[in-house]
Amino acid sequence: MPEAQSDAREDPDAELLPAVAAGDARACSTLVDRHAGRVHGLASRLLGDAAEADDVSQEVFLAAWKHAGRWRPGGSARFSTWLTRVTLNACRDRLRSRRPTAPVEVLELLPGDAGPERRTLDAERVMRVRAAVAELPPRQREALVLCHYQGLRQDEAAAAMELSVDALESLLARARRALRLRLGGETA
Amino acid sequence: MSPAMTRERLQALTAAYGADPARWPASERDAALRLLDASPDAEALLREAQALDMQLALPEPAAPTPALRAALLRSAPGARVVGWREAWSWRFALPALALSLTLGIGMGLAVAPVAQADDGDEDVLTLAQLDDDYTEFTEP
Repeated sequence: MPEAQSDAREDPDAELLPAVAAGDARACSTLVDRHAGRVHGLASRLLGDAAEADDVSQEVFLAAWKHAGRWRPGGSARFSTWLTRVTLNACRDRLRSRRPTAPVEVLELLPGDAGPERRTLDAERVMRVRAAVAELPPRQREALVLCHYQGLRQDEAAAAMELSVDALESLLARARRALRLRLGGETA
Repeated sequence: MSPAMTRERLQALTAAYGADPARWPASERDAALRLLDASPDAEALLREAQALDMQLALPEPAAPTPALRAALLRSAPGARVVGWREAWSWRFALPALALSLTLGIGMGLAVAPVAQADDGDEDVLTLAQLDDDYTEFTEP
């Protein structure tokens, strides 16, 4: 994966990590501000539970603090890719012990300026989409969340999932096909 | 060098990544867009993928709260250094606490015989017993 390797050499976190390991408060703060949103967003989307996403974020950053001093710049992946992989693993551990059935407070997430009927329709659609995504096989769901919802590039998502880009593409195509069938006649 | 783009490859791209060219692999994006410009037929693929993209749209998850950010930073290596400083300061605080305790007990022992000799205080202590129903306050 030559593109991923060249990105690893240009890893924007590479220079930050020695300072993080040395306990530089500003460096730690920068690392959190750069990555906490993505880590938390990924965990929220995979687990469907904001409180669990908080817990996962704390686990992931504990791992980050622990490994910052041992990070080798110019390795095979960027630090952000490693963080994504750790987040995926933490979410997999939690999902193994339960299925994501907890309903999320959808209405709170929708724009407040929409009328009540529109908000109810949107909330129903969002719940149907969330349910359909949650029912996907785990690898398809991860691929879809990483690429479609989190906006990761193919090489980043494939590296985080420890797959080839071709395998990732296949997972994505199957996920979208399954979702099209499930959500078939519904309007957006 | 960008590979030749075919309708089949464009179909595979939209099937996997959807209609937004920003999601397609950078190495194939330009060729795919050129094919779309040249072939109105290929645009049908895009419309189909677009419809599913719209169906899949979800609100953004909530951003990390300030409380979570603070918790993440409390566990950071820098915060551990502060923790050690705090622990170091306890090394001075603990002997001071022990000295205060010793002085307090010593003074208490010295004063206790005087207090026991004061019989008037026994009434005060009796009134404070927990097994007292305090009927004088609860019954008419």
